[in-house]
Amino acid sequence: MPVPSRILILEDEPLIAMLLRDWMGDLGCEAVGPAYGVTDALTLIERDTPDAAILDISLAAENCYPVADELGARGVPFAFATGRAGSEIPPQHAGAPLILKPFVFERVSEVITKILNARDDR
Amino acid sequence: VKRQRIYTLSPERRLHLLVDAVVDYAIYLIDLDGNVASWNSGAQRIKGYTAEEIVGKPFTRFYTPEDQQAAAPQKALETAATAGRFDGEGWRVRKDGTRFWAVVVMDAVHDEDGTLIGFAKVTRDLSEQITARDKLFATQQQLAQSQKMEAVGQLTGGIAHDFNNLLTIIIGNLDTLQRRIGQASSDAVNLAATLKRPIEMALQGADRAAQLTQRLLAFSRKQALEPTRVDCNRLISDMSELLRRTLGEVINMEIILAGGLWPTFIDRGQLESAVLNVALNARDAMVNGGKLTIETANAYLDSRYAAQFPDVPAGQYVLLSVADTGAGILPENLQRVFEPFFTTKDRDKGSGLGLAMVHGFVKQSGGHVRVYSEVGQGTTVKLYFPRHVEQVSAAPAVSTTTGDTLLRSRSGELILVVEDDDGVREYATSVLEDLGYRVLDARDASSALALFETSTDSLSLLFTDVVLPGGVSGRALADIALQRRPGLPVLFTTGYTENAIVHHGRLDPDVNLLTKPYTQEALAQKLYELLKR
Repeated sequence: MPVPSRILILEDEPLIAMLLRDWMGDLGCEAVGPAYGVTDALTLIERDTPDAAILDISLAAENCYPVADELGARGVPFAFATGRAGSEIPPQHAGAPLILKPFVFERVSEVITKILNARDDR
Repeated sequence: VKRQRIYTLSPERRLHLLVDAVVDYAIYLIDLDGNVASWNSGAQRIKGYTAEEIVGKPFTRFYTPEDQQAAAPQKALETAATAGRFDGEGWRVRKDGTRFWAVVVMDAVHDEDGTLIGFAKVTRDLSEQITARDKLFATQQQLAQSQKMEAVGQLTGGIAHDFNNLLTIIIGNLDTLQRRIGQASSDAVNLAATLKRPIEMALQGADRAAQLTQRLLAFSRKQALEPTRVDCNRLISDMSELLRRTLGEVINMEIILAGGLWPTFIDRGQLESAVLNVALNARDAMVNGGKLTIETANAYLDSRYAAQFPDVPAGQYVLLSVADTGAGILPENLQRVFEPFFTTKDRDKGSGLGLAMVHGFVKQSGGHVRVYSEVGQGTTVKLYFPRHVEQVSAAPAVSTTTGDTLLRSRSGELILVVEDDDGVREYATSVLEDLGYRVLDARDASSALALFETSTDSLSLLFTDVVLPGGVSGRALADIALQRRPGLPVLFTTGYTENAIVHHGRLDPDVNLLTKPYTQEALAQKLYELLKR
């Protein structure tokens, strides 16, 4: 039996975080977190590097980019999630896929599959 | 010796030199009958008359026709005679008919035994200061308006973000539920069937709410646009069926597409909904029927025009114009039409988001939008999008006209400008003055006619807006002017497109018409042609 991929969830809205946790289960993955802020997320990454991550861009009083930088440094693929379509993503992360809120399962599934495959291809 | 020379002059000569050396003030005497009795070089410089021309003539001619009618000059003399002094400020008229803002002081002059023998008058020309002050005020107003839009944009951006989070919870969980029901075992099929429909409906409702946040984001200019090369003629043709159905039977629609229209690079879907939004507003303004004219054109906005709007670069644009014959927009509402949630429609009819969305989209696309409206006549919305210059094609052969090559006035001809919009009038006046014309300006037909009275013979051309406040239209004004001065060239201007205004029967097809916004080059060209005849 293959080891399920571990997906870090960074999302400050608990109900959305719960939803994503459920969906990771539906995808046969294991959810890590959820982390509600940058510090939580960095602690989780430090403890055990995940296979991929979904990062909500706008958190309560900060944004997710420090976490994106850390994941980037570790070669972990990730996708951004946001309800603000015009969010200015830093150029070094411009290649990461964007999941626009409100999203449905199909879209999340498609993006997670894509970034995990991209990682496996390297 | 030279240093002492001034003392060798007689006291009278020294006094004369003093008065005449002052060029920034008009200093002159008025006799008891109100005639000019002396004249200095400052007076000649400010008012334009030489001493020979004016001494012995009534000083009333320095006043505007309105002030003359109100007996303002006589009242000033009376005040100075009884109180010893009169001071005030107001518009005065130069020899060439142009106006200036004067600050005046008039003192009674008595002889040795105390008898009143005349008046000493000192006038300053403060036009430049006044113009600078008005410009500053206009700039501040524009800045305040754009700051307000920015603040509302940020607010709605925030609302949309929270709203999308809530929708994610609603839609996401419904989506989960639906998938679970789909995976349910066969004995639960009946249950699944009863749950499916309400879930689908809830999903639909939430989807529509999601579309609303897209519209909110559109005017906060934070939506994700997907620009492609768009041929606006093609887009309008494709939309014509939809537009006809939307407008209904009581509204006629005419589409006029320019040949050789430049392509533009914008989000096609957003442009479609912008056109639809403008058309819906037009429909709601024409409840009793009317006509909608959609027109495309290539347009050049010159640096002169761009200077009026800090966020519009000069250059080549594709113009998409939508004109209706509806109720029009009140002037006090006109500058608010792009504000989110501003609507004059019934509560259940308008969200107040339509034009705000159009504005946000146009600005985000590097374009420009202007609304021209006259109450009772109709409204024209003009959307400008930057021309898309394709890499493969050779550089377009377009004249980039600079101030040096403009067709200038031949002999400083006098032009009467009649325009009720203060900004447009100021623009026209400054453009004409730059071209070397002399200008009289008025904001309605009655003040135009008063100016016309005083300058009937020296006037070279009448340049008037078609629709004017106060009941007398530009066309009627032109008719009166032509009765008194047959053959006087007349140039009309309007925010409507030419097709709209001619077809609406407001003007004959052979009149000279310059549509707004016009460039310095276009105005120069038209005037040059008309004055050649």
